[in-house]
Amino acid sequence: MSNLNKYQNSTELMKLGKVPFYLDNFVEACLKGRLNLFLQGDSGMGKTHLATNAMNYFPGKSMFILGRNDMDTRELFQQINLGKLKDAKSSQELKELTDKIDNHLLVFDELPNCVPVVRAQAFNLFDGFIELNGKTYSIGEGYSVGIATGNIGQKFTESSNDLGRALKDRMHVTIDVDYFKPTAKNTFNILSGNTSPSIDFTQKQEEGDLEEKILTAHREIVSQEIPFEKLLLANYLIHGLDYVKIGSRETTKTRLKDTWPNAITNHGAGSDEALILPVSIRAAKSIIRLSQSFDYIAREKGASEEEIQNNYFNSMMQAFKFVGAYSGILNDLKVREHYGNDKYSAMDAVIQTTQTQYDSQKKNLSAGFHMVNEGKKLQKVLNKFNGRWSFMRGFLEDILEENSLEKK
Amino acid sequence: MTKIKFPKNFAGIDGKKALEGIMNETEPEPKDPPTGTSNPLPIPTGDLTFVDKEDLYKEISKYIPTELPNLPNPLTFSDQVMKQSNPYLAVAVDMFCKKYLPEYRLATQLDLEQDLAFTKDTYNDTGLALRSLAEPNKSQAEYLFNQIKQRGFTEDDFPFFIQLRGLELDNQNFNLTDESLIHKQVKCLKWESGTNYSKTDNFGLPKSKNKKSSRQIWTIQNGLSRCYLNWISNLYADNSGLSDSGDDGRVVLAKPRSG
Repeated sequence: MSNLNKYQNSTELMKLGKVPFYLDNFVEACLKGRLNLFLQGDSGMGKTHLATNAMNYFPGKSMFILGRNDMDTRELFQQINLGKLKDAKSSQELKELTDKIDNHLLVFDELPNCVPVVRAQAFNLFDGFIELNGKTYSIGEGYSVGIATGNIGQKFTESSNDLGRALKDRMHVTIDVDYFKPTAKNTFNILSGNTSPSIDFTQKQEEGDLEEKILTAHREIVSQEIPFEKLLLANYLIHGLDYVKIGSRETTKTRLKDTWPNAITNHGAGSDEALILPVSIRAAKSIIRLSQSFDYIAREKGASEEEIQNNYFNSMMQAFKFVGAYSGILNDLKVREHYGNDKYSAMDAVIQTTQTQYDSQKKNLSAGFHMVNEGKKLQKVLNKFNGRWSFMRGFLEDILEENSLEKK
Repeated sequence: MTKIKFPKNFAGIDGKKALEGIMNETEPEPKDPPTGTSNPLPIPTGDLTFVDKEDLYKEISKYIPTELPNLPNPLTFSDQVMKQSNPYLAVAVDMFCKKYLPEYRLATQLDLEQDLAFTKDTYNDTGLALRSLAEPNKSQAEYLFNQIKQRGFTEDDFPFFIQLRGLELDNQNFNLTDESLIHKQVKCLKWESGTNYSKTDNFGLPKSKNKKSSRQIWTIQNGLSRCYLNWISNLYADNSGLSDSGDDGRVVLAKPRSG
């Protein structure tokens, strides 16, 4: 059971092997991976409650800010005890002031209410710095992360929407809590206790070494070697999902730019070729980090090393689902037409296709790696990598060449 | 930059054995065309086959503009195989086979299900999904349904799966023949798009949903669409571009079953 005891929601979001993951585990995974989390959903669904519970991990080193449309940056800085910034006369003084900010977690409720300039500073705070007069100053003693909430429906994923773009750029993981409502048993419990609809900020923050637990986990996660299988899958999401064939022309969705997905008029229109764009390198990093956090938590919950290794694919795909669904890579029109506007269902369909793709190539991949280890270039093996997997052909050839140069 | 050393066993598969497996793969030996027969055409090989003889491709390419002058023909022959496919081309090739190469006919969905590995990395048209008399392809849907009605079917029998084998073309209209096989009330054609399935019925169509399977059927809810297996053996029954064709399309031929 997670340490966020007070938040009650036993609806499962995913399973790694036999280990179930709930919303509070996702928050924990984001904290351990140092990934900014955006919780979106209808009012009263428990977003703020979930976010404020996360503050228990950092007693005295977390901060809650309620976003308002009349908030300016001066007020924001005052709230984080940087009201004296305007009085600082030199960069050194600014640095001394910002060094004193040791907050590890910033919870920003109703972030979309704020004007863009405040949002931009909030994103900087999440990432552990403040930007003043073109210079950046670190805060948070080397670890800083943000959780934001908002109720903005599906609109923010539209590319024309400034808020959508900002959120996509700066928030690593977005969870729509409307899809993961507390169970009836949870709501019975919730309603039979405190019936005040307001968030209770008087709850005593838990004592103990929770902060150190998160920081230690984070240090371990970032220093762990990333399993090769995960790197391969991340590359498939970057390059394999980019592949598209129009008529007899092989190209990429990236090159199609705004003509994707309308340019896909042949049979690919009915496949995931017209449903999803490839992930960016930045998103791929978030996926790997989140997957590593999932594995870490699964290990804590008693999963064996063998179980964790057997679930690398699943772990990566679940991370892909929650990083990707609201990141703007899905074709919204197709999601509306085929998946009842449910982005998670659309992601599940893409994951199924990825599973088929991956299963069909495992043997060839293993053969290809052995070929490179042996220092041989075998056309018969390289020919196995075409279509979405053509990126592997180039990769194997490059490594072969690099290795042969090293030998010389 | 450190030298990248790949794992010896990837995803639990021994790399050495996998490599040996690939290197030991052999191309199927082409059978000699039978001599002394009255049929001068080169015979394809295998129970399921692509058009892998260039002379046969040339004959088909001559047949289409002669017999079906209005049918656009994007068929090409390269890498020892005839490429491109859409429902019109598939029916045209079936008509050709019926007349000149009766040893083979267009493969049905059921034929393809017998050897999914054969069609991997290609897509193959096998049928049409008729769900209603609305768009997409409203006029073709009405044209087909008028013929279907004459066989005693009604609108209550939607959705229909119409096998391409046995259809005939006339000025780019699909016409039923005595050979035409129509499957009524095919529930899977209206399943939620992306539904997973594993078992198939007597027509090679998805029989029951199975979340654990990686195979998927993609659907729409109205009009007339094509049905084809795509390159990872998912069934695409949602594409309304009846004349669209791609380089990874293959018309698959099968030896008709007896009985």
